[in-house]
Amino acid sequence: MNSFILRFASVFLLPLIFLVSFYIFINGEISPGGGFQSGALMAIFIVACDLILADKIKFIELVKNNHKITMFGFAVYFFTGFFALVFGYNFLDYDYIARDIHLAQSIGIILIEVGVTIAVSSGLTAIYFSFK
Amino acid sequence: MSKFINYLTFMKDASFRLIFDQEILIITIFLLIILSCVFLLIMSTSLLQNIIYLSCCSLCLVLIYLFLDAPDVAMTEAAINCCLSTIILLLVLKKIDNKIVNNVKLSHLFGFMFISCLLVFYTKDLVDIGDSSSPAQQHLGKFYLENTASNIGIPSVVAAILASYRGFDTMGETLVIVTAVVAIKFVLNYKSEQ
Repeated sequence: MNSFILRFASVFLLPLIFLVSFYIFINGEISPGGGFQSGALMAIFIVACDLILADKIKFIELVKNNHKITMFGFAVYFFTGFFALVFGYNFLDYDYIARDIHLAQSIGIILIEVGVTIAVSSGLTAIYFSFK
Repeated sequence: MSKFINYLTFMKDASFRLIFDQEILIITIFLLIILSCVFLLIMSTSLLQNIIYLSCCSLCLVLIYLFLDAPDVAMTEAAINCCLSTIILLLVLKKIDNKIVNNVKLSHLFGFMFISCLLVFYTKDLVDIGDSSSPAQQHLGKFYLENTASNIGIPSVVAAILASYRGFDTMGETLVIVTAVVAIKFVLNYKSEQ
């Protein structure tokens, strides 16, 4: 923690990475980028926290079950599409969510982006910590 | 002979475009940086140098994608290839022997150069960047551009294609991540569980 680069990164860059990741996730339909980019930046935030603060916080204990969280993210995506089959629509057709078509599409896109973000962020951190 | 003359006129047009189109000039500079990085990568004998050159290559690719108006691809490249894979490769480098023997000979290099010259020769059949009369823009791209506002109702066409029109493909991409995590968990935790 004594070097200048690490101090600068921990004070300025880490909050910025988190902010950009959250911004991309919130503005998924308006700005470029979506769930995958947001999840990748979130994974980089956790990896950078581990690289800088490894002697203070034991991150490897926190991410022990990350492969199960990856499965959960994929399940969110899959069941968003699967419930359409239950209500008599095609697979991944979001029209069953609401009566207004545009509202249904927006809610469906947000749901699957939540799934992709959870899957990608936890999956990439799981890959990083299994190499450690 | 006439084919050769055609090729010469094509090269003249290409050089004309190169000089007067600034974006293509910048992209060409970045491509030349990538080329020199690859040459150094082939010639180097240290694994640490190799990782740094690879990271430099992907940094130049990020800038090329930005100039080609693909910011989401640039974000993915910067996050995954430039940052995360470099960190993982450096982590692996801590655990293995650093020294490698460089087996590349000059004859191999000439073979690579011959193949890449052939590939460059056939790029004159490709469509121009941003050409609206290309086959890809005529059929499905036109449909997406015209119907996104009425069918989906969101401003970003790329998000509409990825999440709604082609949601099944995006599910496959997520499944790729899940498969990679499961495979790495099985391979790296194999010894500790026995």
